[in-house]
Amino acid sequence: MKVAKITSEKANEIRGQKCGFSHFNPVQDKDDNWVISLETAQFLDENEYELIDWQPKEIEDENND
Amino acid sequence: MAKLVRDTRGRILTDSLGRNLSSEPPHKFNIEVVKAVSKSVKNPSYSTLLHLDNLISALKSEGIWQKLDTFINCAYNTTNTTVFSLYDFIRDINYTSYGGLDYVVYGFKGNSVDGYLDTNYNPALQGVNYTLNNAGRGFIMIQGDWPGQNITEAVDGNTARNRTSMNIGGSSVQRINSEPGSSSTVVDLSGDGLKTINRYNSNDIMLTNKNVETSFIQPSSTVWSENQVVLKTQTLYSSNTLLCYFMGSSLTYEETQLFRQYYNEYLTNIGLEPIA
Repeated sequence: MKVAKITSEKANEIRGQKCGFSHFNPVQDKDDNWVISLETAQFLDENEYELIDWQPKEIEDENND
Repeated sequence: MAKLVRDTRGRILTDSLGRNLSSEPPHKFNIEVVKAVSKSVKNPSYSTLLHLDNLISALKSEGIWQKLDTFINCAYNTTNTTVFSLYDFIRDINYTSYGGLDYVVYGFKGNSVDGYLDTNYNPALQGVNYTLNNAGRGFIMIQGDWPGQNITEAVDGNTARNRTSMNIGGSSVQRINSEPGSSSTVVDLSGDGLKTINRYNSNDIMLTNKNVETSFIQPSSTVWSENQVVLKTQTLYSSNTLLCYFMGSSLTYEETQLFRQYYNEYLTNIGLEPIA
């Protein structure tokens, strides 16, 4: 699965802003890159992101508080 | 064909949803449906609204509806009712969608990356029926297909204090108004259908996965003051599909099964598989 890598500045800029019926929610992958899904990347200009493979962070310890 | 009904000045009369009245007795919709229709631009079809209205009436007749503080329905067998699917029929406000949720005929499908729903419901501030020692939440889900990403929960935003986990193989972290770190019996909520967690007093918890009931003891702690969110955990996002979601006071096992029965009838009536 591909996701859109964005800069941390862009992540801060768009977080919570409306995109279609939803709102941007930048998250960090396992390498701490800021990414958004392609469904929401369509609301940015193509030069504002780079497509990379989605690599989620390690499964959290579900007993964490 | 039934004749349209006109007033003394010849104007065509309409029912509470704005449809032209015919000489047949008009259907009287529940006020919750009328309000929802008035707030959304793209509504489900009239026949779907009738089936939804019948579902709400059935839940009211069983006393289940009166126990709820929040309820959204997302399954309308169309992909054109996204905003309508965010409408909270109890609280008369909308849930908020974040990230790239996909809207499909069964409801909102998580994308495993960034999509989730914020209920905008904080039980500590807005709880009416939901109290410390009488609380419940439930949802109907279709299990996603991303291995290891099927943790689909109703959790608060930052912690695992209120968690309902659909881990395949079960989870010992099923919590409602519980202390952080508290464990439960391992409960397997994987698979499609209705899942509920219910707290009946300061100790007794009962979960249901379709018709399977599991009970255990877990002391209550406090009603945590944070919005409940759906389709995410602290850091992980689900690939499951949400058909409906609710919170309120606890439901009995019998009420959970009635909920399934009525919701399955609704799904069948609108042309979807009865997966509840």
